Order: sequence, then structure tokens, then C-alpha cells
Amino acid sequence: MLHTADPLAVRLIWIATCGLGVTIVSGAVARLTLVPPRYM
Amino acid sequence: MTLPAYMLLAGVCLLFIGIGWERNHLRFDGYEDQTLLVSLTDWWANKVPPENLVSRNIGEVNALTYWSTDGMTYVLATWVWSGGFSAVQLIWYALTPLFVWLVPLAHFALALQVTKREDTAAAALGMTLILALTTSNSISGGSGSLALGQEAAFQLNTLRTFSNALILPLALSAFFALLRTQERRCLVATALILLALALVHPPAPTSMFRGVFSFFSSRLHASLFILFCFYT
Repeated sequence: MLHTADPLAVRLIWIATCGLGVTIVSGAVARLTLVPPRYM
Repeated sequence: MTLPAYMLLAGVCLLFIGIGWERNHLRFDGYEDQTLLVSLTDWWANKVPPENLVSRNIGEVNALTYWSTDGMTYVLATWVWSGGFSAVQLIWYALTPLFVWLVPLAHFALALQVTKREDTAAAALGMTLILALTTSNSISGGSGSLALGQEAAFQLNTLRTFSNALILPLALSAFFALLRTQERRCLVATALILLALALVHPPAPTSMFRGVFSFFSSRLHASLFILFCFYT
């Protein structure tokens, strides 16, 4: 994935892709597990 | 050889920030979604009783069940809660200038995964910019989430514009990298970003399959793709 041949811009995009994915998915998991059902 | 391509990339990123900041003062299609997003974010951050929340009632009337798994609004609400500023300040004014420079980078990575040529990818970015500027928008409240205009490039303040302008090119970029390299890490990244796409703007899990469809149903992306085919 993080090939050394990849230019810096593409490596930045890989980091953004994984970072955004982890942020959104963990937000959904937090919302589903931390929030009382009556506020869903 | 590649220096002009990266200068073009940097220039387009700067232009996207400038245009995004300028367009932030206008409200095209999706205006109403911003008010709903602000309302829901405020609700999460401040624990307003549900029965007093108009947007919550709208969601129930329209059976928008995906709000229950909407991770992005939760993240924005956490940001508002911890930062102490208002959701209006964050969503209406800050999100676009903060993140719009990632949009041309995502298109650059997508074009580079397809062609493996940096000059072609940079030229595709120039096309994206020109086409985005010349694509007309529906007025607010007018028709159509299936006909996206400038908000598919310069606007990042609703769940729909986030998914169309940023997350969709990122998902397609990861997907084409997976096709090219067939590495397990690319598969994990593709699955992760597709799940994120499904959680951000999805009437249900079908959005995983709507990804490519919604890419081509955007006037900007469709015209870019046609020009891109001619160019390559």
C-alpha cells in the first residue's frame, strides 16, 4: 500500500483514506455503544 | 519532468481552498441538509431533549434510520463539545476551508492509480477544476441529489457533499489500487473506506453499491470521466 515508489501526495492520500475511515467507523461504533437507546 | 505536474497540483489545491472559501458564502443545493446537520450536531453536543428537536422529528417522519449509525455527525458533535464553539461555526464556516484541499488530492490519487502517469493525473486535476467551475448548480430547495454541480467539488459541509466530493474519490482510489496490486492491505483500506462511505451518506447498506453509480450520476464526475477518456 505505502509503496516507496508512491509520490508524497499519494502517500498523504493513503493516510487521509485510512484516517477518515477509522474516524468515521469509530464514531459510528461509539455512537452505537456509548449512547443510551432513548437518544438513538 | 514531474515538477510542473506537482506545481499544478499545489496550485489547484490552493485554488480549491480559495474557491471553497468564496463559495462558502453562497448556499447552493443542500442548504437544508446543512441546517439539519447543524441541528443534529448541536443535539448530540448539548443533549437537547429529543422531543424538542425539529430535525429529529423530520428524520422520524421520513424514516431516516441511517441517522442511528451516522458516525460522522457524532465525530463533529464530539469536536463541538470538546472545542466549545458552536456547530454553526464549525459546519457552515470552518469545514470547507479546512478540508477542501483534500478533494484535488483525492482526484489526483485516483487518476494516478488508473494511469500511473503523474502528468496525466495533474492534467485531470486541471480538468476537474475547470469543469467544476463551469458546472451549474440547482438552487437551494430545487431538484435533485442525483444532479450534483459545484458542490461536488468545493463544498464540504453536509454528509452528502462529504461523501460525493471527498470520500467517494478516496474509495475509488483505494479500489483501483486494490485492482492493480491485489494486496491484502489495499483490501483492508478499501473495505474500511467503503464502510465509512456507507456510514456517512447512505440510505442503508446499498450505498456500497451506489458508490460508482453516484460517481457517474454527478455531472462533474461524468463529464470529467468522458474528457479523461479522450485525454488518455
